[in-house]
Amino acid sequence: MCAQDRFRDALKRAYDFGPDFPRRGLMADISAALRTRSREETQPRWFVGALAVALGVATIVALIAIPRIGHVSPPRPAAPVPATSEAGVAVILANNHVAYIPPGATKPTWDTTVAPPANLIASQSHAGLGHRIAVSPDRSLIYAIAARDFVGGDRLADCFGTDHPGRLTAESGRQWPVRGPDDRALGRRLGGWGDWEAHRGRPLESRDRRDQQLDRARHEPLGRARSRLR
Amino acid sequence: MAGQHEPELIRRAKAGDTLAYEDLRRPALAPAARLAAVLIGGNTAEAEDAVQEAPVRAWRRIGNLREDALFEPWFLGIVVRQVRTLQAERWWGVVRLPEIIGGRSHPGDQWLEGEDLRRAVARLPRGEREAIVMHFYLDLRLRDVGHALGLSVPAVKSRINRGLKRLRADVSAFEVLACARKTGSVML
Repeated sequence: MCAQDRFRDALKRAYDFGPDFPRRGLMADISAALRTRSREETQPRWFVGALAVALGVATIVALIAIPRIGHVSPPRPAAPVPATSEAGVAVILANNHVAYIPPGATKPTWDTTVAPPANLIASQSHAGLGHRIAVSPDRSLIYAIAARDFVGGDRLADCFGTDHPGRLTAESGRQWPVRGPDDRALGRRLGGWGDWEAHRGRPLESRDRRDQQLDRARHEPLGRARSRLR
Repeated sequence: MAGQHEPELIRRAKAGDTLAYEDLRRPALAPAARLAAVLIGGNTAEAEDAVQEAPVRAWRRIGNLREDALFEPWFLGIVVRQVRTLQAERWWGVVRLPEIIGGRSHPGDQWLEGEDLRRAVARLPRGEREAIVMHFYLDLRLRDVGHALGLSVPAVKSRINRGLKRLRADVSAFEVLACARKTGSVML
């Protein structure tokens, strides 16, 4: 008998638990435990599965519904319908017709036709000043129109229909006078927004003609100019 | 024993046949109880608790068992893990000495006997103890031990050899004491 066989025998002798181990009822206990566990585990697994499905559905519904709920505004009390406009509005209508409706009014306080040339093409808001600027199609005439709330600058409503010129302030801080359409001229653009030249009471056509003469005089030869002056 | 019909029993058990599963586990119950009792340190009551819980675990995992595999090594592996769990839960417990009928060691033997051998086995590292008990006590083949413990055959051999070396060291120390008892002299 080799050493390992002797060790095997010694081990079996050392751990000889006798014929009553394991006890005979152990097999029956195991079978009962298996039956009990099977019943216990079947129902919880079904229940847990159903619960997991329900939770999954609830999560999906929540993910879909929560963003929509966030956009739903709370109910507000019904506000009275305003009978009048809340703020004044200056608008450029067709055929160079300009009208202004002050706050709280339903009819325009003034309604006038701006000077030719006809067909204004733009009504530009001059940010920071509260003015509205209308530009003629050839961009040679700029009309200062009163801001609808008359804030942020000089009061320009007087430009229209009166002899008192208003004062338009550009973003650069420069100011220039403007007049109503009765004077047929408000300003002429020379460069950027800060370079405006006022032409009070003088038609633009004459101004343009004089400028053309001056330009021609600058560029023509000196002899021809002298002869013409003579 | 399931014998020649074991693959068929495994197939039926995996399909949910509880009778087939009972036929499989019945012959494995006694080896499983003895294995648990040795690994626990001779406490037969705790061993039966472990063995009573193991078939439930095995039934839950029967789907993992290959049809061409043997049921008993696979089941014993579950018993080993169940014992580990019990020992981990009762780490604070006092290891009681087994109430086993056994004799003292004989001075002329190469191996320890009885309580001395049980003490030496209990001192082994867990992996070495499991491999030695399954191979020498339950007479499982090395391949089946590896299957039960999730190890390769060389790994099982390595663990068994290391364990036997430790036991031989204990034998040498004990032989000194035994010789001293026999001669009435202290040779420390």
